[in-house]
Amino acid sequence: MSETLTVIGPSGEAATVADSALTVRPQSDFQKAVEDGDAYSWSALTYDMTAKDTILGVENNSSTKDLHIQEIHIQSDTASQFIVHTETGLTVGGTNVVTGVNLNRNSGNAAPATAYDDETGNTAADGYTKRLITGLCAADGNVVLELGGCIILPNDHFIGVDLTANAGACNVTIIGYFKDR
Amino acid sequence: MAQFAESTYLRGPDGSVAQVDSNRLRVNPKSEFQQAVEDGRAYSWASLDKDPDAADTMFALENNSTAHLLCIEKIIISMTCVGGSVCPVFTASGVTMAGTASVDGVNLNRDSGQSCVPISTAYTDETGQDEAGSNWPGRLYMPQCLTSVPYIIDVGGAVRLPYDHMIGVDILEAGTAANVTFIGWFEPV
Repeated sequence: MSETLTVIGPSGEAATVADSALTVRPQSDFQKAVEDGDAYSWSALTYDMTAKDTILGVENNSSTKDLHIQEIHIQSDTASQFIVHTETGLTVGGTNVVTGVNLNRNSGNAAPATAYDDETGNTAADGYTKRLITGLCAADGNVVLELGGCIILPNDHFIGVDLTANAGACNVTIIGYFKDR
Repeated sequence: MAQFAESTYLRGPDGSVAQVDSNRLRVNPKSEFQQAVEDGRAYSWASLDKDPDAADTMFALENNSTAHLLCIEKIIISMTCVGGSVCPVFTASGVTMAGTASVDGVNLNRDSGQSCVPISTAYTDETGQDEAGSNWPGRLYMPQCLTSVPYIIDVGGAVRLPYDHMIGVDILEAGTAANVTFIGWFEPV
């Protein structure tokens, strides 16, 4: 004897079984956060940096949500080592506030975060002991780090991206999402 | 032939019901790596810039845990070398790790107090082995890396290192700068 079981959602809509396979819609944490209006981009404008500047730093200010880092984009007009680092307990500051832009433009949510370009509140350059990723960026090169949310920042934790060479122009973009703890 | 039909919700322990959109059941696949990140078992080992000689091991990482496999998720290789270079990625075992600078792993979940310092060893300019001398019998990848362009290998946990096994990245040509980052997690045996 066999039974037929129909899987339905909260609205009563049934999931399809076609060609002997259940039809599913994979949805990552990032995609869910985008739908919910909890995913943001922090993108620094171009500036003339000095060696070991923190091009962009972002701090999570939410005590109820962790900030997951999805992607980091790094550009420089000068060949340089780049260093992605983390710290906690900082007073974040810098030249310009960088406001997170909600990736879901249908959402009115604002990011519970503080971000600055030319961030000066951290002391990571003293040895970079909490470095997460290092690498080299070519002159006029573009580095994309796809992280899939694997760096998790709780409240008061910070992520920054430094270049160790003195570049004339640089940009960093950090894309991340907030998820309930 | 079905005897009777029944409709059911899929409900989690917190009462949340799985959505069905356009007749598609919504699922959220979670990899072993993602679970390890949440559990605080995932780390990054990132080397600082070094000036490599030909055939140097730019960076190497060893598992020192008898209770865990060290699973490699991602390898990021950068080096500056005119014309680029092949950068062999290899494994070996029974190595007494040594080198220029030791590198501590950094937990990817910054809410975790766990440390991998007691259960892994990593060195830049690693000198405890000479796999190059025998053409890297444990070679996994032989990428031709372009100068100053990070070469990213998404291993996805397919490389699993038991106790006393190491993974290293060499450079064939002499370069002027090099960085390697390993991202991985510890999986209980």
